[in-house]
Amino acid sequence: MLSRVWTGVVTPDWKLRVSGTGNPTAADPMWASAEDRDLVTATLAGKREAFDVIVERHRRQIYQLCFRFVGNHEDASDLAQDVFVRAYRGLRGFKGNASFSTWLYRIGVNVCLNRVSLKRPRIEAIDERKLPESSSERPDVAVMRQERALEVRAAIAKLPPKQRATLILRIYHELPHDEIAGVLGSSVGAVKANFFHALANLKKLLR
Amino acid sequence: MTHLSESELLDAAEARLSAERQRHAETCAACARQIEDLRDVLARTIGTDVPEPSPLFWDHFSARVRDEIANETPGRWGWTSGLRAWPVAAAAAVVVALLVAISVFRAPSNQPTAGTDRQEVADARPPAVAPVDADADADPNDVDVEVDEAWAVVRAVADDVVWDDVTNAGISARPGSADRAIQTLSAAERTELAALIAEELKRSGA
Repeated sequence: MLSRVWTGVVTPDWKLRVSGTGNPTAADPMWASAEDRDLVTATLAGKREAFDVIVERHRRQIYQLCFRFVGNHEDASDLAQDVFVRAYRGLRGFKGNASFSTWLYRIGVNVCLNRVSLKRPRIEAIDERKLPESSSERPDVAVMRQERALEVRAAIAKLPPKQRATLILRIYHELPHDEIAGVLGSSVGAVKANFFHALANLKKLLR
Repeated sequence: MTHLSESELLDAAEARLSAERQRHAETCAACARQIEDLRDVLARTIGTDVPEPSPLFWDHFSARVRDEIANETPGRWGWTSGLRAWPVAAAAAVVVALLVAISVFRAPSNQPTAGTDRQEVADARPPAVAPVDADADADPNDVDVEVDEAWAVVRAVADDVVWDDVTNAGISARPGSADRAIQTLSAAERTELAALIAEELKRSGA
């Protein structure tokens, strides 16, 4: 016996919208040419896809920054992810006084320094991950280059935190001294002193 | 001319030294040697690349970040949101402090005990042996259970209680508890208690 009768009708104007380009991880091309500040504003206004563009734009340099600190892919990957998550959470704190990348570097350096203060970095062995190879490079030269890179990374890992951060930002990210000062919250003079002593210490470590 | 400072040595190693100081660097063997050392270290350090992850890694990485922030609001940890939270936190702290203060001040002398008549509760207050003035009655620790809001629930329950039924149900003061309570009274309190009992006996015609 029918105990209940449903009298409602299906709403006729339901719309099924399928979006996407087939590559679900690609950032929205609409934002591709936007300035970082505009992307931040859009993200804060609820356009989450704008933050995808920020991630896509800066992920490589942040990953490399983290790798320089910890020396292995797994930790660098986790740390880089942490940097972007923290940036997202603290996005309202970006006031636009410095460039967005400087602000992001500041988060990155803090995250990395926190990690290396808690856990000694494990430098990847040569055969764990191949370095980019030049097509004209002989295998023995490539091995020597990898060995040298490993030696340098191990030496950098032994530097005091601020010297390490300064050296990484100056040499590998080519930031000017004043921008490094902004990232580290110190003066240009302190940055240059840290850089000088970092190089002097490296010279001893690389003998 | 003075030797190059650390800062100038760095500038020289990075080929950014002023022309005037550059002339000194070219003529001073000590400074030239230091510049050469710095350049040597720079050259050895610069030539080390970070291994490039798999091309698939980057899409995977973006997806991980997207998943991680999927249920979050951007900027929720901004310093301004922290400031906005201050008044709420302060108000909450004040309310908690008030509740603690009220509970502490009210707790000591007004705890009802099982089998105690309402009138006994009221009379069990420290006897006003020598009331000096009206302010003594205004003691914040001295709460009138007949009117105080905090006792409203107890009063509502007690109003429906027939005390003979309570006694018949076996809920009463333990044998000897009245004797023990009297022994703790001071001489003045015992005198006052005796006067109250005599007055009550006289009023009831016993």
